[in-house]
Amino acid sequence: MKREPFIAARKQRWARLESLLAALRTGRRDGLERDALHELPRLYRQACQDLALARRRMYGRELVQRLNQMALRGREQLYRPSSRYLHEVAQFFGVDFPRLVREEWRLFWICSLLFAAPLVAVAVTANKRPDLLYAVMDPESLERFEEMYAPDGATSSGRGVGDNVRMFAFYVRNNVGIDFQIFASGLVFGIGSLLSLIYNGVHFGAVAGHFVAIGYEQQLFTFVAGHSSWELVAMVIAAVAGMRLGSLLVAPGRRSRARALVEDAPRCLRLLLGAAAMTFLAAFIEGFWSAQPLPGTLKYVVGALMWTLVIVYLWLGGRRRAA
Amino acid sequence: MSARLDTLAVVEAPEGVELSLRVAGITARALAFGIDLLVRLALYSALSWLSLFGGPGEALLLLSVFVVEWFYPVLFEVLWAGQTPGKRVLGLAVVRDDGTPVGWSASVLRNFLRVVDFLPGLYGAAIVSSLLSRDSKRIGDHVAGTLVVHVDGRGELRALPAAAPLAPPISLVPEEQAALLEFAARSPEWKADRRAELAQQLAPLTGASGAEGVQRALGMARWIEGAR
Repeated sequence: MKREPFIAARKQRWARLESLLAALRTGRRDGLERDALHELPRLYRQACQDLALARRRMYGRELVQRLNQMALRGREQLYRPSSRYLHEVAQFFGVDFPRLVREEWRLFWICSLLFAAPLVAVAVTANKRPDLLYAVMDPESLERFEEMYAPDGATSSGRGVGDNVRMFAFYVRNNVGIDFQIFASGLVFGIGSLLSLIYNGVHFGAVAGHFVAIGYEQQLFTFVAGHSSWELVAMVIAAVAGMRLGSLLVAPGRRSRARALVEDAPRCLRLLLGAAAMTFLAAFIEGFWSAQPLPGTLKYVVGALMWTLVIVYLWLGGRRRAA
Repeated sequence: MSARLDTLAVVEAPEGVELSLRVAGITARALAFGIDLLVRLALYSALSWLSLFGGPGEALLLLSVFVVEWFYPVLFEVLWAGQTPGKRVLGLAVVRDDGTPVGWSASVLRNFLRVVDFLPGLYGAAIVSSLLSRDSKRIGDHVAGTLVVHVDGRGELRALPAAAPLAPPISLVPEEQAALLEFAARSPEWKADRRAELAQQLAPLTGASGAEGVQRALGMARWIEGAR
């Protein structure tokens, strides 16, 4: 078949497909008849076939480009990822996320240790030798912390609703951002996550040790009791996700490194998103609950409850449906 | 065939046909990034007015800054056909390696990994990575399995320059035909000297050199395209 009759025989079909695609792309579907969309798969497949023929028979650059463009656009519409958001969200937090964490139990415990060990070590050291504290923290930020937790309670009781919202927003931005950074830096063979994790452990340890040393411990511990569970565990999980990402480069197994990344990075990302959600929850508690001037005992009880909740969630979550 | 000569990425569709994507180079992407940077700065300064409304206003400001900081490219790419404002201006879009639209997971991955691409400063890793990669992918693109491609038809459907159609003296294989067509399509971009210099390589085919060689090569391209 010559070029001209080839085009003449298909002209209408192509115009139809192009107008359909244009309508879908701009989202204006009112102009279309009800069943117009049912034609799309057929028209698209025909365009693909025409493209192959036009290319093979050298019908010319212009025609090939036009058909290529049509096929790409059609593919874009037909192979769109599905979107059943609510169901997927429930499935993720109810079942998939705790399972993912349990699948990574080795890394989880390694990361917990890497986080907790420097924390405890620095806290004890800072308590005994306060002068060493300044090796890991600069004086200004320590002063800021001291003001935040001053025992006269000026900060905690003087906070209005607006301040609570503001603090919530601050914690979200700061803490979730830390999670993202811990994760992303893991791509550098896991070293980034490792260093961030240790750094944060040292940081928390230094603050805790310092406050115990100067006698503010009551303030500090009642403040962190409520949200610490979600926040600390989430940080460890973000590090797990980052380390797993790095491990795909270090030990890809029987795959190329690129292949390993493409296949398994989404899994790491899911871990990170779970961790980010936990940190978000922690920020909520930290903003609206932790600074309330309530009796210390109540705060410790709530804190213990929260820790139990986190442990039960990650330990048992999504198990029943596994059978 | 032209995939080897050009920066086209070829993907095979399940419908049994190869589709070609025009991969965007580092310059276009850097420009798009620059525009996005300006848009973001404008957003930040627009948002900073929120702080006038006291506590709740500041809270809203912080949350918005957080969203812009981490999710600006993600939201645009997923909800706006793979394009941030900067990419839209330059006619670029993000797609998955197989040419289908990016979803949440791919977009979040490629954009969060900007943290790594930025190392050791000013997107050093991204620049090295995209210069080394055939499809000029930065690290985030490798991990998420995405490509940045040209989506507008700009510069694509130009008619070939005018020349009297001329049948080639021998029959050409498809690769040779494609090379002639590409030569003709791009010749308006070059100076006459450069055109003649390149056409010189075709002298055995055209049997002429200089301007006459160029004209004959263009004529053969027209002939291959179907003009008689």
